[in-house]
Amino acid sequence: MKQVPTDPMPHARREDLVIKEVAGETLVYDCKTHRAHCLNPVAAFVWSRCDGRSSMAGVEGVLHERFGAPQGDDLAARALRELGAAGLLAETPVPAPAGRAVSRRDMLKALGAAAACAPLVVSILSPTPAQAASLLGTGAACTDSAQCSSGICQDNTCL
Amino acid sequence: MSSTGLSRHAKGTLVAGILRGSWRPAPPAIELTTSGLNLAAPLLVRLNAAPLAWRKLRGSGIAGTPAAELLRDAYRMESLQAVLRVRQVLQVFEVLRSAGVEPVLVKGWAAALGYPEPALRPWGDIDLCVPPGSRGAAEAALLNRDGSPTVDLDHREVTDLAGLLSRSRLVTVEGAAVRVPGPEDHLRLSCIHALKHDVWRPLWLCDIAAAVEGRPADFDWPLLLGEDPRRAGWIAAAIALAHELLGLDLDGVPAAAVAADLPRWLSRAVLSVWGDPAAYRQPRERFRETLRHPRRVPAAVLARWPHPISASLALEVPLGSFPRLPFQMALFARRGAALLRRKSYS
Repeated sequence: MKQVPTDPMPHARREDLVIKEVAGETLVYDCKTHRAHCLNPVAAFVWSRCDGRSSMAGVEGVLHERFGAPQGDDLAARALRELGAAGLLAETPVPAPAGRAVSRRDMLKALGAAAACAPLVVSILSPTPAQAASLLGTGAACTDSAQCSSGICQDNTCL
Repeated sequence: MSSTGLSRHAKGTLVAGILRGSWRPAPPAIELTTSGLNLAAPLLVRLNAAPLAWRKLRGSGIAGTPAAELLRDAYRMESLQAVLRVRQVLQVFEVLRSAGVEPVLVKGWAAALGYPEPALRPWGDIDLCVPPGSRGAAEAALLNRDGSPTVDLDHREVTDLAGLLSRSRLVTVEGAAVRVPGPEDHLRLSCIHALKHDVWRPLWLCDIAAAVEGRPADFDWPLLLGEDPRRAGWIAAAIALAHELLGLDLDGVPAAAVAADLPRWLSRAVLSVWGDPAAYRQPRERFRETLRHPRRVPAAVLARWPHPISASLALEVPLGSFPRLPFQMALFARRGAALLRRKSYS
Protein backbone atom coordinates (compact mmCIF):
# COMPACT_ATOMS: atom_id res chain seq x y z
CA MET A 1 0.00 0.00 0.00
CA LYS A 2 1.34 3.39 -1.01
CA GLN A 3 2.35 5.51 1.99
CA VAL A 4 0.65 8.86 2.42
CA PRO A 5 3.39 11.51 2.55
CA THR A 6 3.82 13.58 5.70
CA ASP A 7 3.51 16.77 3.70
CA PRO A 8 0.70 16.00 1.25
CA MET A 9 -0.45 18.54 -1.24
CA PRO A 10 -4.04 19.73 -0.82
CA HIS A 11 -6.79 18.69 -3.23
CA ALA A 12 -7.57 20.78 -6.26
CA ARG A 13 -11.12 21.85 -6.82
CA ARG A 14 -12.41 20.62 -10.18
CA GLU A 15 -16.19 20.91 -10.09
CA ASP A 16 -17.96 23.83 -11.77
CA LEU A 17 -14.75 24.84 -13.50
CA VAL A 18 -14.05 25.26 -17.20
CA ILE A 19 -10.37 24.63 -17.92
CA LYS A 20 -8.67 25.45 -21.18
CA GLU A 21 -5.01 25.29 -22.16
CA VAL A 22 -4.14 28.05 -24.58
CA ALA A 23 -0.67 29.02 -25.82
CA GLY A 24 1.17 27.63 -22.80
CA GLU A 25 -1.27 29.10 -20.26
CA THR A 26 -3.93 27.35 -18.24
CA LEU A 27 -7.15 29.34 -18.22
CA VAL A 28 -9.81 28.57 -15.65
CA TYR A 29 -13.37 29.86 -15.51
CA ASP A 30 -15.21 29.41 -12.23
CA CYS A 31 -18.87 28.84 -13.08
CA LYS A 32 -19.85 29.49 -9.44
CA THR A 33 -18.18 32.87 -8.99
CA HIS A 34 -18.04 33.79 -12.71
CA ARG A 35 -14.41 34.71 -12.30
CA ALA A 36 -11.67 33.76 -14.73
CA HIS A 37 -8.03 33.08 -13.90
CA CYS A 38 -4.82 32.59 -15.82
CA LEU A 39 -2.30 30.16 -14.31
CA ASN A 40 1.29 30.46 -15.41
CA PRO A 41 3.21 27.19 -15.97
CA VAL A 42 4.43 27.05 -12.34
CA ALA A 43 0.93 27.49 -10.92
CA ALA A 44 -0.52 25.07 -13.46
CA PHE A 45 2.04 22.43 -12.51
CA VAL A 46 1.47 22.90 -8.77
CA TRP A 47 -2.30 22.72 -9.29
CA SER A 48 -1.93 19.52 -11.29
CA ARG A 49 -0.17 18.00 -8.30
CA CYS A 50 -2.92 18.99 -5.87
CA ASP A 51 -4.18 15.45 -5.51
CA GLY A 52 -3.85 14.85 -1.77
CA ARG A 53 -1.14 12.23 -2.44
CA SER A 54 1.85 14.08 -3.89
CA SER A 55 4.30 15.44 -1.37
CA MET A 56 5.17 19.09 -1.07
CA ALA A 57 8.87 18.21 -1.04
CA GLY A 58 8.45 16.24 -4.25
CA VAL A 59 6.69 19.15 -5.93
CA GLU A 60 9.38 21.55 -4.81
CA GLY A 61 11.97 19.19 -6.24
CA VAL A 62 10.30 19.24 -9.64
CA LEU A 63 9.97 23.02 -9.49
CA HIS A 64 13.72 23.17 -8.90
CA GLU A 65 14.52 20.81 -11.80
CA ARG A 66 11.95 21.99 -14.32
CA PHE A 67 11.59 25.69 -13.55
CA GLY A 68 14.93 26.50 -11.95
CA ALA A 69 13.45 27.39 -8.56
CA PRO A 70 16.11 27.60 -5.82
CA GLN A 71 16.31 24.67 -3.41
CA GLY A 72 14.24 25.22 -0.29
CA ASP A 73 12.28 28.09 -1.77
CA ASP A 74 8.64 28.82 -1.04
CA LEU A 75 7.46 28.89 -4.66
CA ALA A 76 5.17 25.92 -4.18
CA ALA A 77 3.68 27.46 -1.06
CA ARG A 78 3.20 30.77 -2.86
CA ALA A 79 1.46 28.99 -5.71
CA LEU A 80 -0.83 27.22 -3.25
CA ARG A 81 -1.67 30.50 -1.52
CA GLU A 82 -2.59 32.10 -4.84
CA LEU A 83 -4.53 29.05 -5.98
CA GLY A 84 -6.40 29.07 -2.70
CA ALA A 85 -7.15 32.78 -2.99
CA ALA A 86 -8.57 32.12 -6.44
CA GLY A 87 -10.86 29.43 -5.05
CA LEU A 88 -9.17 26.64 -6.98
CA LEU A 89 -8.38 24.41 -4.00
CA ALA A 90 -10.81 22.16 -2.20
CA GLU A 91 -9.20 22.99 1.15
CA THR A 92 -7.03 25.73 2.64
CA PRO A 93 -3.36 25.02 1.89
CA VAL A 94 -0.93 24.29 4.73
CA PRO A 95 1.46 27.25 5.22
CA ALA A 96 5.12 26.71 4.33
CA PRO A 97 7.19 25.40 7.27
CA ALA A 98 9.26 28.06 9.09
CA GLY A 99 12.89 28.43 8.06
CA ARG A 100 12.39 27.22 4.49
CA ALA A 101 11.96 30.64 2.88
CA VAL A 102 14.71 31.51 0.42
CA SER A 103 16.14 34.99 0.12
CA ARG A 104 14.47 37.24 -2.40
CA ARG A 105 17.86 37.76 -4.01
CA ASP A 106 18.26 34.02 -4.70
CA MET A 107 14.76 33.82 -6.08
CA LEU A 108 15.29 36.83 -8.32
CA LYS A 109 18.56 35.36 -9.55
CA ALA A 110 17.02 32.01 -10.30
CA LEU A 111 13.81 33.12 -11.95
CA GLY A 112 14.56 36.55 -13.27
CA ALA A 113 13.22 39.67 -11.67
CA ALA A 114 10.02 39.92 -13.72
CA ALA A 115 9.06 36.29 -13.27
CA ALA A 116 9.78 36.29 -9.54
CA CYS A 117 7.65 39.37 -8.87
CA ALA A 118 4.80 38.43 -11.15
CA PRO A 119 1.78 36.67 -9.66
CA LEU A 120 1.46 33.01 -10.52
CA VAL A 121 -2.33 33.15 -10.73
CA VAL A 122 -3.84 36.19 -12.40
CA SER A 123 -7.51 37.02 -12.44
CA ILE A 124 -8.72 37.98 -15.89
CA LEU A 125 -11.44 40.48 -16.61
CA SER A 126 -13.04 41.22 -19.95
CA PRO A 127 -11.51 44.57 -20.91
CA THR A 128 -13.80 47.49 -21.59
CA PRO A 129 -13.28 50.22 -24.20
CA ALA A 130 -12.93 52.73 -21.36
CA GLN A 131 -10.16 50.65 -19.83
CA ALA A 132 -8.32 50.47 -23.13
CA ALA A 133 -8.67 54.21 -23.60
CA SER A 134 -7.49 55.12 -20.12
CA LEU A 135 -3.84 54.17 -20.57
CA LEU A 136 -1.68 57.17 -19.66
CA GLY A 137 0.32 59.02 -22.28
CA THR A 138 3.96 60.13 -22.19
CA GLY A 139 4.71 62.45 -19.32
CA ALA A 140 1.67 61.53 -17.25
CA ALA A 141 2.06 60.76 -13.55
CA CYS A 142 1.99 57.07 -12.77
CA THR A 143 2.73 54.54 -10.06
CA ASP A 144 2.97 51.35 -12.11
CA SER A 145 4.09 50.47 -15.63
CA ALA A 146 0.72 48.83 -16.33
CA GLN A 147 -0.88 52.28 -16.24
CA CYS A 148 1.32 53.63 -19.03
CA SER A 149 0.51 53.26 -22.70
CA SER A 150 4.25 52.82 -23.32
CA GLY A 151 4.44 50.16 -20.63
CA ILE A 152 7.22 52.01 -18.85
CA CYS A 153 6.78 53.95 -15.63
CA GLN A 154 10.06 55.62 -14.65
CA ASP A 155 10.37 57.86 -11.61
CA ASN A 156 6.54 57.98 -11.44
CA THR A 157 6.29 59.34 -15.00
CA CYS A 158 5.14 57.51 -18.11
CA LEU A 159 7.90 57.38 -20.70
CA MET B 1 -12.62 64.90 -36.12
CA SER B 2 -11.90 63.62 -32.66
CA SER B 3 -9.79 64.79 -29.76
CA THR B 4 -6.88 62.72 -31.10
CA GLY B 5 -6.97 64.74 -34.35
CA LEU B 6 -7.67 61.68 -36.46
CA SER B 7 -10.86 61.42 -38.46
CA ARG B 8 -13.26 58.52 -37.98
CA HIS B 9 -12.23 57.31 -41.42
CA ALA B 10 -8.54 57.31 -40.45
CA LYS B 11 -9.21 55.41 -37.24
CA GLY B 12 -11.37 52.93 -39.13
CA THR B 13 -8.54 52.45 -41.60
CA LEU B 14 -6.22 51.72 -38.67
CA VAL B 15 -8.65 49.05 -37.40
CA ALA B 16 -8.91 47.54 -40.88
CA GLY B 17 -5.13 47.36 -41.18
CA ILE B 18 -4.84 45.52 -37.88
CA LEU B 19 -7.51 42.98 -38.82
CA ARG B 20 -6.22 42.35 -42.31
CA GLY B 21 -5.94 38.60 -42.88
CA SER B 22 -6.51 37.94 -39.17
CA TRP B 23 -8.85 34.97 -39.78
CA ARG B 24 -6.18 32.88 -41.48
CA PRO B 25 -4.33 29.99 -39.79
CA ALA B 26 -1.13 31.96 -40.41
CA PRO B 27 -2.11 35.65 -40.36
CA PRO B 28 0.19 38.15 -42.06
CA ALA B 29 2.76 40.04 -40.02
CA ILE B 30 1.69 43.37 -38.59
CA GLU B 31 3.50 46.69 -38.61
CA LEU B 32 2.06 48.87 -35.92
CA THR B 33 3.44 51.40 -33.47
CA THR B 34 2.58 51.49 -29.79
CA SER B 35 0.72 54.76 -30.28
CA GLY B 36 -1.27 53.25 -33.14
CA LEU B 37 -2.22 50.31 -30.96
CA ASN B 38 -3.18 52.61 -28.08
CA LEU B 39 -5.52 54.42 -30.45
CA ALA B 40 -7.00 51.26 -31.91
CA ALA B 41 -7.33 49.17 -28.74
CA PRO B 42 -10.54 50.79 -27.39
CA LEU B 43 -12.12 50.47 -30.85
CA LEU B 44 -11.10 46.84 -31.19
CA VAL B 45 -12.57 46.05 -27.76
CA ARG B 46 -15.84 47.82 -28.56
CA LEU B 47 -16.03 46.09 -31.96
CA ASN B 48 -15.49 42.65 -30.34
CA ALA B 49 -12.43 42.23 -32.54
CA ALA B 50 -9.88 42.16 -29.71
CA PRO B 51 -9.15 38.40 -29.91
CA LEU B 52 -8.47 38.61 -33.66
CA ALA B 53 -6.25 41.63 -33.13
CA TRP B 54 -4.32 39.87 -30.35
CA ARG B 55 -3.68 36.95 -32.65
CA LYS B 56 -1.97 39.24 -35.12
CA LEU B 57 -0.04 41.11 -32.44
CA ARG B 58 1.37 38.22 -30.44
CA GLY B 59 4.97 37.67 -31.34
CA SER B 60 5.34 41.28 -32.49
CA GLY B 61 7.45 43.89 -30.77
CA ILE B 62 4.41 45.55 -29.17
CA ALA B 63 2.86 42.36 -27.77
CA GLY B 64 4.02 43.23 -24.24
CA THR B 65 2.50 46.70 -24.07
CA PRO B 66 -0.43 47.35 -21.71
CA ALA B 67 -2.82 47.89 -24.62
CA ALA B 68 -1.79 44.55 -26.14
CA GLU B 69 -2.24 42.88 -22.73
CA LEU B 70 -5.84 44.11 -22.69
CA LEU B 71 -6.43 42.53 -26.07
CA ARG B 72 -4.79 39.38 -24.79
CA ASP B 73 -7.15 39.32 -21.80
CA ALA B 74 -10.07 39.58 -24.21
CA TYR B 75 -8.67 36.59 -26.11
CA ARG B 76 -8.27 34.64 -22.87
CA MET B 77 -11.84 35.38 -21.81
CA GLU B 78 -13.20 34.42 -25.21
CA SER B 79 -11.24 31.16 -25.10
CA LEU B 80 -13.16 30.27 -21.95
CA GLN B 81 -16.48 31.69 -23.15
CA ALA B 82 -16.21 29.62 -26.33
CA VAL B 83 -16.21 26.43 -24.25
CA LEU B 84 -19.23 27.59 -22.23
CA ARG B 85 -21.19 28.66 -25.28
CA VAL B 86 -20.70 25.35 -27.06
CA ARG B 87 -22.25 23.65 -24.05
CA GLN B 88 -25.16 26.08 -24.22
CA VAL B 89 -25.65 25.36 -27.92
CA LEU B 90 -25.67 21.63 -27.30
CA GLN B 91 -28.18 22.10 -24.50
CA VAL B 92 -30.50 24.08 -26.79
CA PHE B 93 -30.21 21.44 -29.50
CA GLU B 94 -31.07 18.74 -26.98
CA VAL B 95 -34.12 20.69 -25.76
CA LEU B 96 -35.41 21.28 -29.28
CA ARG B 97 -34.74 17.76 -30.50
CA SER B 98 -36.61 16.42 -27.49
CA ALA B 99 -39.56 18.49 -28.72
CA GLY B 100 -39.24 17.03 -32.20
CA VAL B 101 -37.66 20.12 -33.75
CA GLU B 102 -34.47 19.94 -35.80
CA PRO B 103 -32.85 23.40 -35.78
CA VAL B 104 -30.12 24.87 -37.97
CA LEU B 105 -27.58 27.06 -36.21
CA VAL B 106 -26.80 30.17 -38.26
CA LYS B 107 -24.58 33.26 -37.96
CA GLY B 108 -22.38 33.47 -34.78
CA TRP B 109 -21.17 30.00 -33.94
CA ALA B 110 -21.65 28.76 -37.50
CA ALA B 111 -19.30 31.57 -38.56
CA ALA B 112 -16.85 30.70 -35.76
CA LEU B 113 -16.41 27.26 -37.36
CA GLY B 114 -14.53 28.95 -40.19
CA TYR B 115 -11.82 30.32 -37.89
CA PRO B 116 -8.70 28.54 -36.63
CA GLU B 117 -9.97 28.87 -33.05
CA PRO B 118 -13.54 29.52 -31.88
CA ALA B 119 -12.28 32.16 -29.43
CA LEU B 120 -11.42 34.45 -32.34
CA ARG B 121 -15.09 34.90 -33.25
CA PRO B 122 -17.07 36.11 -30.20
CA TRP B 123 -20.82 35.74 -30.40
CA GLY B 124 -23.73 36.28 -28.05
CA ASP B 125 -27.19 35.08 -29.02
CA ILE B 126 -27.86 31.63 -30.40
CA ASP B 127 -29.37 32.15 -33.87
CA LEU B 128 -31.48 29.28 -35.12
CA CYS B 129 -33.66 28.53 -38.12
CA VAL B 130 -36.41 25.96 -37.60
CA PRO B 131 -38.85 24.40 -40.08
CA PRO B 132 -41.92 26.63 -40.60
CA GLY B 133 -44.35 24.19 -39.03
CA SER B 134 -42.15 23.72 -35.96
CA ARG B 135 -41.97 27.33 -34.84
CA GLY B 136 -44.63 26.94 -32.17
CA ALA B 137 -43.12 23.76 -30.74
CA ALA B 138 -39.68 25.39 -30.73
CA GLU B 139 -40.90 28.45 -28.85
CA ALA B 140 -42.73 26.32 -26.31
CA ALA B 141 -39.69 24.14 -25.70
CA LEU B 142 -37.39 27.15 -25.32
CA LEU B 143 -39.79 28.85 -22.93
CA ASN B 144 -39.11 26.24 -20.31
CA ARG B 145 -35.35 26.39 -20.46
CA ASP B 146 -32.99 28.56 -18.47
CA GLY B 147 -33.02 31.91 -20.28
CA SER B 148 -29.40 32.54 -21.17
CA PRO B 149 -28.16 33.06 -23.76
CA THR B 150 -31.01 34.39 -25.87
CA VAL B 151 -32.20 32.19 -28.70
CA ASP B 152 -33.26 34.15 -31.77
CA LEU B 153 -35.59 32.45 -34.23
CA ASP B 154 -36.24 35.49 -36.45
CA HIS B 155 -33.99 35.91 -39.46
CA ARG B 156 -35.46 38.06 -42.20
CA GLU B 157 -32.26 37.71 -44.20
CA VAL B 158 -33.23 34.11 -44.93
CA THR B 159 -35.49 34.27 -47.98
CA ASP B 160 -35.33 30.56 -48.87
CA LEU B 161 -35.81 28.77 -45.57
CA ALA B 162 -36.77 25.47 -47.20
CA GLY B 163 -33.63 25.54 -49.32
CA LEU B 164 -31.43 26.42 -46.35
CA LEU B 165 -32.87 23.56 -44.31
CA SER B 166 -32.52 21.05 -47.15
CA ARG B 167 -28.92 22.03 -47.84
CA SER B 168 -27.88 22.11 -44.16
CA ARG B 169 -25.20 19.76 -42.89
CA LEU B 170 -24.23 18.17 -39.61
CA VAL B 171 -20.94 18.96 -37.84
CA THR B 172 -19.69 17.11 -34.78
CA VAL B 173 -19.02 19.14 -31.65
CA GLU B 174 -17.90 17.43 -28.46
CA GLY B 175 -19.39 14.19 -29.70
CA ALA B 176 -22.76 15.74 -30.57
CA ALA B 177 -24.10 16.59 -34.04
CA VAL B 178 -25.03 20.22 -34.67
CA ARG B 179 -26.77 21.29 -37.87
CA VAL B 180 -25.38 24.32 -39.71
CA PRO B 181 -26.10 25.86 -43.13
CA GLY B 182 -24.39 24.68 -46.26
CA PRO B 183 -21.42 26.86 -47.25
CA GLU B 184 -23.32 28.81 -49.93
CA ASP B 185 -26.24 29.61 -47.62
CA HIS B 186 -23.86 30.56 -44.81
CA LEU B 187 -21.91 32.96 -47.03
CA ARG B 188 -25.07 34.49 -48.51
CA LEU B 189 -26.54 35.01 -45.05
CA SER B 190 -23.27 36.52 -43.80
CA CYS B 191 -23.18 39.02 -46.68
CA ILE B 192 -26.79 40.15 -46.41
CA HIS B 193 -26.73 40.30 -42.61
CA ALA B 194 -23.57 42.42 -42.60
CA LEU B 195 -25.00 44.90 -45.11
CA LYS B 196 -28.37 45.16 -43.37
CA HIS B 197 -26.51 46.27 -40.27
CA ASP B 198 -24.22 48.68 -42.12
CA VAL B 199 -21.23 46.35 -41.63
CA TRP B 200 -20.70 48.11 -38.31
CA ARG B 201 -18.79 45.07 -36.99
CA PRO B 202 -15.57 44.22 -38.87
CA LEU B 203 -16.05 40.63 -37.63
CA TRP B 204 -18.77 40.25 -40.25
CA LEU B 205 -16.35 41.03 -43.08
CA CYS B 206 -13.88 38.62 -41.46
CA ASP B 207 -16.66 35.99 -41.52
CA ILE B 208 -17.15 36.61 -45.23
CA ALA B 209 -13.42 36.40 -45.86
CA ALA B 210 -13.06 33.19 -43.82
CA ALA B 211 -16.02 31.64 -45.64
CA VAL B 212 -14.70 32.55 -49.10
CA GLU B 213 -11.10 31.48 -48.45
CA GLY B 214 -12.20 28.30 -46.62
CA ARG B 215 -14.85 27.27 -49.15
CA PRO B 216 -14.97 23.66 -50.36
CA ALA B 217 -13.70 22.79 -53.84
CA ASP B 218 -17.25 22.22 -55.10
CA PHE B 219 -18.59 25.55 -53.84
CA ASP B 220 -21.64 26.49 -55.94
CA TRP B 221 -21.25 30.17 -56.90
CA PRO B 222 -24.53 30.39 -58.88
CA LEU B 223 -26.33 28.98 -55.83
CA LEU B 224 -24.67 31.63 -53.65
CA LEU B 225 -25.70 34.50 -55.91
CA GLY B 226 -29.21 33.21 -56.58
CA GLU B 227 -31.57 34.44 -59.25
CA ASP B 228 -32.34 37.91 -57.96
CA PRO B 229 -29.77 40.24 -59.61
CA ARG B 230 -30.24 42.88 -56.92
CA ARG B 231 -29.35 40.48 -54.08
CA ALA B 232 -26.52 39.05 -56.19
CA GLY B 233 -25.18 42.59 -56.49
CA TRP B 234 -25.35 43.07 -52.73
CA ILE B 235 -23.49 39.81 -52.13
CA ALA B 236 -20.85 40.78 -54.69
CA ALA B 237 -20.46 44.16 -52.99
CA ALA B 238 -19.97 42.55 -49.58
CA ILE B 239 -17.29 40.23 -50.95
CA ALA B 240 -15.58 43.15 -52.69
CA LEU B 241 -15.67 45.12 -49.41
CA ALA B 242 -14.00 42.23 -47.57
CA HIS B 243 -11.30 42.23 -50.25
CA GLU B 244 -10.77 45.98 -50.28
CA LEU B 245 -10.81 46.59 -46.53
CA LEU B 246 -9.44 43.36 -45.06
CA GLY B 247 -7.47 41.73 -47.86
CA LEU B 248 -9.74 38.78 -48.68
CA ASP B 249 -7.93 36.65 -51.27
CA LEU B 250 -10.06 36.50 -54.41
CA ASP B 251 -8.11 33.68 -56.04
CA GLY B 252 -10.61 31.44 -57.82
CA VAL B 253 -13.58 33.70 -57.11
CA PRO B 254 -15.59 34.30 -60.30
CA ALA B 255 -16.03 37.86 -61.50
CA ALA B 256 -19.79 37.70 -61.02
CA ALA B 257 -19.28 37.27 -57.27
CA VAL B 258 -17.15 40.39 -56.77
CA ALA B 259 -18.43 43.92 -57.42
CA ALA B 260 -16.15 45.35 -60.11
CA ASP B 261 -16.22 49.02 -59.14
CA LEU B 262 -16.95 49.35 -55.49
CA PRO B 263 -18.29 52.87 -54.93
CA ARG B 264 -16.11 55.02 -52.73
CA TRP B 265 -18.99 55.98 -50.47
CA LEU B 266 -19.46 52.34 -49.47
CA SER B 267 -16.00 51.70 -48.01
CA ARG B 268 -15.91 55.21 -46.50
CA ALA B 269 -19.23 54.58 -44.76
CA VAL B 270 -17.93 51.34 -43.24
CA LEU B 271 -14.59 52.76 -42.13
CA SER B 272 -16.28 55.77 -40.53
CA VAL B 273 -18.39 53.49 -38.36
CA TRP B 274 -15.39 51.35 -37.39
CA GLY B 275 -13.63 54.58 -36.41
CA ASP B 276 -16.41 55.60 -34.02
CA PRO B 277 -18.68 52.65 -33.22
CA ALA B 278 -19.94 54.34 -30.05
CA ALA B 279 -21.58 57.07 -32.14
CA TYR B 280 -23.21 54.48 -34.39
CA ARG B 281 -24.54 52.47 -31.44
CA GLN B 282 -25.49 55.41 -29.27
CA PRO B 283 -28.73 54.69 -27.38
CA ARG B 284 -31.57 57.01 -28.34
CA GLU B 285 -34.43 58.25 -26.27
CA ARG B 286 -37.90 57.78 -27.64
CA PHE B 287 -38.83 60.50 -30.11
CA ARG B 288 -42.03 61.14 -28.18
CA GLU B 289 -39.82 62.20 -25.25
CA THR B 290 -37.59 64.27 -27.53
CA LEU B 291 -40.59 66.25 -28.79
CA ARG B 292 -41.12 67.52 -25.25
CA HIS B 293 -37.72 69.23 -25.54
CA PRO B 294 -37.71 71.01 -28.93
CA ARG B 295 -34.02 71.92 -28.67
CA ARG B 296 -33.11 68.23 -28.77
CA VAL B 297 -35.05 67.61 -32.00
CA PRO B 298 -32.29 68.48 -34.54
CA ALA B 299 -29.80 66.14 -32.84
CA ALA B 300 -32.46 63.43 -32.56
CA VAL B 301 -33.28 63.75 -36.25
CA LEU B 302 -29.61 63.53 -37.11
CA ALA B 303 -29.22 60.43 -34.93
CA ARG B 304 -32.06 58.79 -36.84
CA TRP B 305 -30.76 59.71 -40.27
CA PRO B 306 -30.59 56.44 -42.22
CA HIS B 307 -27.18 54.94 -42.82
CA PRO B 308 -26.48 54.74 -46.58
CA ILE B 309 -25.93 50.97 -46.66
CA SER B 310 -29.00 49.81 -44.73
CA ALA B 311 -31.08 52.51 -46.47
CA SER B 312 -30.10 51.02 -49.84
CA LEU B 313 -31.13 47.53 -48.74
CA ALA B 314 -34.34 48.77 -47.12
CA LEU B 315 -35.34 50.41 -50.42
CA GLU B 316 -33.97 47.44 -52.36
CA VAL B 317 -31.70 49.48 -54.59
CA PRO B 318 -28.25 48.51 -55.92
CA LEU B 319 -25.12 49.48 -53.98
CA GLY B 320 -23.84 51.46 -56.93
CA SER B 321 -22.17 54.78 -57.47
CA PHE B 322 -25.44 56.77 -57.55
CA PRO B 323 -25.46 59.17 -54.58
CA ARG B 324 -27.20 57.78 -51.52
CA LEU B 325 -28.80 61.01 -50.32
CA PRO B 326 -32.08 60.58 -52.25
CA PHE B 327 -32.47 57.06 -50.85
CA GLN B 328 -31.70 58.21 -47.32
CA MET B 329 -34.24 61.02 -47.66
CA ALA B 330 -36.86 58.65 -49.07
CA LEU B 331 -36.39 56.16 -46.24
CA PHE B 332 -36.42 58.90 -43.62
CA ALA B 333 -39.66 60.25 -45.05
CA ARG B 334 -41.17 56.75 -45.14
CA ARG B 335 -40.28 56.11 -41.50
CA GLY B 336 -41.56 59.53 -40.49
CA ALA B 337 -44.86 58.88 -42.24
CA ALA B 338 -45.14 55.48 -40.53
CA LEU B 339 -44.49 57.13 -37.15
CA LEU B 340 -47.17 59.74 -37.80
CA ARG B 341 -49.64 57.03 -38.86
CA ARG B 342 -48.99 55.10 -35.64
CA LYS B 343 -49.52 58.24 -33.59
CA SER B 344 -52.73 59.07 -35.42
CA TYR B 345 -54.11 55.59 -34.68
CA SER B 346 -53.14 55.68 -30.98
